Formats: sequence, structure tokens, C-alpha cells
Amino acid sequence: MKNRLRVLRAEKSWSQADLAEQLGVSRQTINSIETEKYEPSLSLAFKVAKLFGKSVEEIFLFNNERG
Amino acid sequence: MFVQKNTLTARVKLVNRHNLIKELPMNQQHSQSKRFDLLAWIITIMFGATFTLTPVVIHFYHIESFLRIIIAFVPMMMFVLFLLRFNHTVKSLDELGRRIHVETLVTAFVIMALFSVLGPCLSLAFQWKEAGEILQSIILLPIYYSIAAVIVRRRYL
Repeated sequence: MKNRLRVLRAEKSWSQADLAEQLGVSRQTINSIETEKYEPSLSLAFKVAKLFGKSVEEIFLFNNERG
Repeated sequence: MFVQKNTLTARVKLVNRHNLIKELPMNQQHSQSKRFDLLAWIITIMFGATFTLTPVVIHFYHIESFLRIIIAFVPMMMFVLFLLRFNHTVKSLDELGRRIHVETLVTAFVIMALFSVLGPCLSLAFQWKEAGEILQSIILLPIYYSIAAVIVRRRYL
């Protein structure tokens, strides 16, 4: 699953730690999501979407080939 | 909709060029010291020490009767404390941390099973009786857990 988290975060000039604090997760989690090593839970995906004022589909792109 | 990866990186660097240190990969950043749980380490070490030393103390000092029963159950009490603290630590983690913990436990048990089979094989092949007993021992679980933690963390971090 691809995502635009890094770009959106950069637009806000937030560090990974800033974003992690606002979402209530660790910075490692943000890093793993950005590098696409970890796919966030549905609740975290919605939290991210709400924080950036976008829909989940605008941030996360489901890749059918990889699942 | 999605920009090329190279463009993404360039854009991030442009926006955050004064904060490039924040963009370093995880393995190049210092871990957060606040995550170090001193109490958990103390309890773990105490459990290990009591589990190892209790049989020695009972046998060498020939402790009998009621005191012997109390001393014999000290490691069990420490283990309960260890489990409580472990539970607290896992609950305090975020979703990725919990996932890593669960996958580490599963991997540790798989490694333990592998070594449990390897032990008797070594015993038969090299007539090395102790190998079977040592490798089947649950005392090695922390070592298996450490190996599993390295494997799982490499996958996610």
C-alpha cells in the first residue's frame, strides 16, 4: 500500500516526531508507514486523514497486486 | 495522483532543509531514552537472579521446613511481577510496537521448537547427551526472544 504521508507532512513542515505526537504513536511507526514497511490500522489511517483534512483514499492508495 | 519517489524525496528535503536531521533513517537516529524502562529491567534481572540462585541457596544452606517453602516460591513471585510489568509495557506501546511484540513472541516459539528438535538430533549424531537437555530448556527462551526481536525489528524498522 502506497501513501502520501511524507509529502503531506513535508507540506506542513512537521517532523516525524511532531506527527507522531499528534497521532499518539511512536516516531518509528511514522517512519515505518512512510517507508511502506508497515500498513497502519484502519483507526490510525482515519486519524491521519482527519489530521490532514483529507479522505483516507487521498492519503493511502491500495495496491491490488501486493494486497 | 502519486508523485515519483525521487520527486517526493526532493520535495521533503526542500521543505525541511533546515531540519534535515529529522529526515535521517531510523537506524541513524538515537533511540529515545524515555523508552528505557528501568523498573522492567530491574524486575527482569531480579527474576533471573532468584530463578538461578534459589536452588543454590536452598541446597548449600540446607534450609528446611517452612522457610524452604517460602524461599522456593520467590522466583514464582518475581515471575508474576515480571509478567505484570511485561503486560504494562506492551499496553503502553502503540500499534506497531504491539505488532512487533506479538510477532517476536511467535517467532521466538518457532525458534524454540526448532532448537528443541535440533537438540535430540545433536544428541543422537554426536552422542552429546547434554545438547538435547540444554536446547530443550525453556530457560533459553529469553535468548530465542532476543534473536526473534532482531529478525522482526529488521522487517519493520
